[in-house]
Amino acid sequence: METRLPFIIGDLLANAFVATVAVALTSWLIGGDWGMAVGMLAGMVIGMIVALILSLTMLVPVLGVMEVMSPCMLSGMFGGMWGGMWALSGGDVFRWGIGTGLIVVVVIYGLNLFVTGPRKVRT
Amino acid sequence: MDIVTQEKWDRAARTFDLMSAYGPEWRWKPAKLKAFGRMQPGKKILFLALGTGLDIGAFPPGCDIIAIDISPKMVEKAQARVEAYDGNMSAQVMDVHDMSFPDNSFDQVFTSCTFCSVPDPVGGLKALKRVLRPGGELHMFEHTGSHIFPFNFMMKLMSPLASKFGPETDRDTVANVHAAGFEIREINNVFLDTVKTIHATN
Repeated sequence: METRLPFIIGDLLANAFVATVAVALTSWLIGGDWGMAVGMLAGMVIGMIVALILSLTMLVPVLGVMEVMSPCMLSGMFGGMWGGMWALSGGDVFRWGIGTGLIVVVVIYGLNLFVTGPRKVRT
Repeated sequence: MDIVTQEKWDRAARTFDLMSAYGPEWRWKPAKLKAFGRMQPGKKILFLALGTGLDIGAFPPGCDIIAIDISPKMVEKAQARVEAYDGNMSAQVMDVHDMSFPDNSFDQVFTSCTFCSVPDPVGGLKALKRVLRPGGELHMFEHTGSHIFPFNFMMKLMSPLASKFGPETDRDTVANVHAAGFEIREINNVFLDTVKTIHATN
C-alpha cells in the first residue's frame, strides 16, 4: 500500500471525519432510544451507509478506492454503533468520532503489514 | 456483445478520470509499475480492460500491445494515451467473452481491475486461456472480495450497489483463475487481501 505522508494524514482525517459524522447522525436519530441491541445494530447499518456515501462522493477521488472504503466503512460502522447506543452530544461526538477513526487507521495499517506481500502458490 | 455491460461502462466513462485518475492511481501506481513492468518487448501482449488508458503510464516502453475494452466511450477517451505510448499499441472495442483473436495469439495477457466487472468471470478467463499460447503468462492487477472479517461482510453488502455503477466488490478472482484452468504462480496482496496481483500461466 502507498503510505507516503500525505496518504497517512489523509487516511487519519478521512476516518476521523466519517466516524464523527456517523456518531453525530446516529446520536441525533437514535441516541439510545431504541434500546442497546437494536440501537447498536441500526447504528452500525446507518454508519456504514454514511461511510459509503461520504467515501464515494468525497474521499475516493483523492485518497484511493479500497484503501478508503474498507477503513471508512469500519469507522462508520463503529461510529454508528456508539451513536446508536448512547445519546452523545457536543465534545463527546468529536472525542468518540476522532478516537474511533484514529484507532481504525492504526488497526488497518497494522493488519495490512501482516497481510500484504508476495505469496508463492503451489497448485 | 454484452450490451448491458457496455452501456454501464459507457456511462461510467463520463466520470471515470475524475474518480480514478488521482487518488486511486497515485496509490496503486507503485504496484502497477511492478505488475505491468513484466511486459516484455518482442512478445505479443493483450491488455484488458483499457478503460480511459490510465494504466498506460505504468507500461514499460517498446512493447507490442493490443488493448481491448467493452466500452466504445472508454476507448475513445483512451485514444490520446494510446497514441502517446512509446511502443506499438492499438486499442479495440471488444468483449472478453467474444474475442475475435485466433487461438494462441498472445505470449502475455495483462488485466487491470477487469474481473471484478466481467459478467461471467470464469468464462472470460477461459476465453483468455484460449488466446494465450501454452506456457503463456497471465498477470492480473485486481481488487477482490476479502476473506477477513468484517471486510468480507462489508464487501458483500456493498457489491449489489457498487455493481449498478461499476464493479462488484466480492469476487473471488483467485478461485476463478484456478477454475478457468490456469496454474497460479504467485499472489501478491497490495492492500489487505482486497487488492492483489496474480501471476498465472497457461
